[in-house]
Amino acid sequence: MAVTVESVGTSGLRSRPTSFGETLRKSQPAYILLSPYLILFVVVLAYPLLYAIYLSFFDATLNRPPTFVGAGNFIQLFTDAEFYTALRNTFFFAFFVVLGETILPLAMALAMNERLPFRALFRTAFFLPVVCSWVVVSLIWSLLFAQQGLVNSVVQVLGVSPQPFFSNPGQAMWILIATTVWRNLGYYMVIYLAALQGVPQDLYDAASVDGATRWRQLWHVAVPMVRPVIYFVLTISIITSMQLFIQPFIMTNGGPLNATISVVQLLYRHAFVQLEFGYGSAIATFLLVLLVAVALVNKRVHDLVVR
Amino acid sequence: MHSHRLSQLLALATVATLIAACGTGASNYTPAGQPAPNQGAATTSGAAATGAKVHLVYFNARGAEAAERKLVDRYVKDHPDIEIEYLSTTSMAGPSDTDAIANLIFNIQAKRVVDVAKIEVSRTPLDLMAADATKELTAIGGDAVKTRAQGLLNSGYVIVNNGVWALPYEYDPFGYIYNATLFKDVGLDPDKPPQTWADLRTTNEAIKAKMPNAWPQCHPIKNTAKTLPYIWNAGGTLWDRDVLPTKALFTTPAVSATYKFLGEWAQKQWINTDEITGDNQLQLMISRKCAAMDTSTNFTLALQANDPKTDWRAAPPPSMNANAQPVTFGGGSALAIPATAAHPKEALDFMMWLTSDEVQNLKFGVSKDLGLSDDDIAAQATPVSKNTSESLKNNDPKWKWAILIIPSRPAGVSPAFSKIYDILAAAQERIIRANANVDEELATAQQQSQQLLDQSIAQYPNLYKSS
Repeated sequence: MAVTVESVGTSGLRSRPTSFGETLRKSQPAYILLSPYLILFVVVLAYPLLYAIYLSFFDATLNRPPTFVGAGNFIQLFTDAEFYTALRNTFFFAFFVVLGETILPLAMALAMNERLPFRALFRTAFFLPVVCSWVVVSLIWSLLFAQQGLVNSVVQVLGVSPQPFFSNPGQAMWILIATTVWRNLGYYMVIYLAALQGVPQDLYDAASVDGATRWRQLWHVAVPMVRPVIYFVLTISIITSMQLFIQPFIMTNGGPLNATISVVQLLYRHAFVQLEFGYGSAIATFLLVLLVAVALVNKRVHDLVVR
Repeated sequence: MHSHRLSQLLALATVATLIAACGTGASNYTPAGQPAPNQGAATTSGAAATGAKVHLVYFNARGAEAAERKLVDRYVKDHPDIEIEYLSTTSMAGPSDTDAIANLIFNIQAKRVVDVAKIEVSRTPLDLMAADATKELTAIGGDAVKTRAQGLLNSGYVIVNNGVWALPYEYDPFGYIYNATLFKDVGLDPDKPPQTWADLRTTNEAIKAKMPNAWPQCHPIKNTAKTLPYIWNAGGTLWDRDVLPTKALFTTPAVSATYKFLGEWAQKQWINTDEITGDNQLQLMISRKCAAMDTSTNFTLALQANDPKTDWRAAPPPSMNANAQPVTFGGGSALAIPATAAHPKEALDFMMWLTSDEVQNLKFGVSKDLGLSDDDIAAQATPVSKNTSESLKNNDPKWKWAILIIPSRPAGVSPAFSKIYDILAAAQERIIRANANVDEELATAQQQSQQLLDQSIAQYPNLYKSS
């Protein structure tokens, strides 16, 4: 039987429904404690978000009163070839990153959940990239894959000519994908590992009694039990990968030939390099709508599958 | 009940503490971040009359922190009636320190007091001017300001429409930086860097023949500024005029020849395939992957510091034909008085001091008593003072190659400059990386740029009417 804190409060058993005002009054301390965050939320998130949506309908730049242009910025957006390039790049990046970030960490977590020698060492090693900043990771991978980088040195030792990783439009995006998946593997592995450790041993034992091999136990017991976490990882991975910015900003500056420019980078260029705040806001608004739509679809699929 | 009240009080105290921590603290002056009080000289006289110190806000959006802080300390020490609030903004590597400048622009938009702003020189003064976000300096300081500006390198960027909108402060000319030791090793005369395109072809072929894995000519691929000197030194120009252009002239023979020349570098594998950035240029030069690079001449200081055994030198960007008088693109910084300045007169006094020969000597280590390290000095490009430049070039061997005293030209600055710069840079990348048709690329770029220029003229009629 569930017992709520409220039911054992000073007033004893209660049958009378509380009014909204009374609930608000009773929750006052909680709201006061939450207020620092709420204030910051309004100041640095809610207001800028709403203002960006508002600004997306204006031609706005430095020190000039914004001019209302209706859907002009969005019309420009949907006829901008560079925007489609950025959108295509972002989807391409997101697809493979989400795939990598969902499957590889799960496999690693399943392995790390076993009684392996040096398990603690492996866990630390896998998690280490997560504590490095994106800028550091991007710079390191830039150096690794540069014309004179370590990877090309190895490639040459193997008798292959140096690869133009960052000058070949067909290769540069894959470096960004690899960098991103490598950086986030440990983070998602830890999330999966926590979920796997919550799977009751009884289920494995029962499967074992039924004659299931270790592989079948993992596939038919462990994986279904962590399914909600898989959806969580999927959602977070989609949202973060669609916001791709730092890696191309540091590693490729969107090149070569715009092969790695992302929607957020395009937004940055318009809003902060060319000071087109209205057009930049339109890109941001589009991205917001896109991310909300993706998250809703993801939730819907999740609900259907779990049900 | 008692504990309920206590928790309420605790929560209130927490919120109050957090809000207080976000404040700027007590102050006896008008700080940056507050709305500008009565602007102009009247405020100043009022302050002087009451004996209060004049409070200047100096916003540095262009780095070289160590030197700026020491100069501010020196100025305040020498001017007891002035106090200076020094604000700086960290900057990511990006086009013209864009984020730092955006930070300044947002402050101006928010009507915050900024008396002196150190900004990027090539496009920002005009951007601020077009937006009525900066003050014209001769209206504050008279002809002395114009005389000062004309005497400094890079003055072409700041003297617009018969007004002076900023004072050049640091000079960052582009040149042909080369490894003279490598030149000697491959049989080239290190004392004769390529002066013409024909020389450059011979040089690049000689290097490629002896060092097939090296790039004889490293040149930022997606970059318009580094290509402009080649266009100018081919006798061409991209515009009908250097400041506030009204016509894009990208399809002229000289411009076409220049971009075809870049295409030739790519076809013959003379040019880099990795993009040149601030992060990799040192590595590429010291490792001899690049034999030469089109970049800032003060890069020779960093090369010497990191690889003193190699002979690093700089020369003017090669010209298309012999006997041409080379010119270059000069970047760097400038000092402006934003529209939100509270003390423009004192701000200008400070700027005149900073751009004087005496202070340029201090800033760049001709006079050593500011106590700057070599790294601090090298972080500032080169002096805008011609006298300081001459003094460094002639008396300090370290600076011999870093100082390039040849004329610079404004790069066709207008409110549309940033966008047009990107259009040309993208076209250049396609020419180099994808062997795109030069004439078609230039024709398209010209058409797009002309539209932007026309929009700019329509949007800022006053700016163009008086030019």
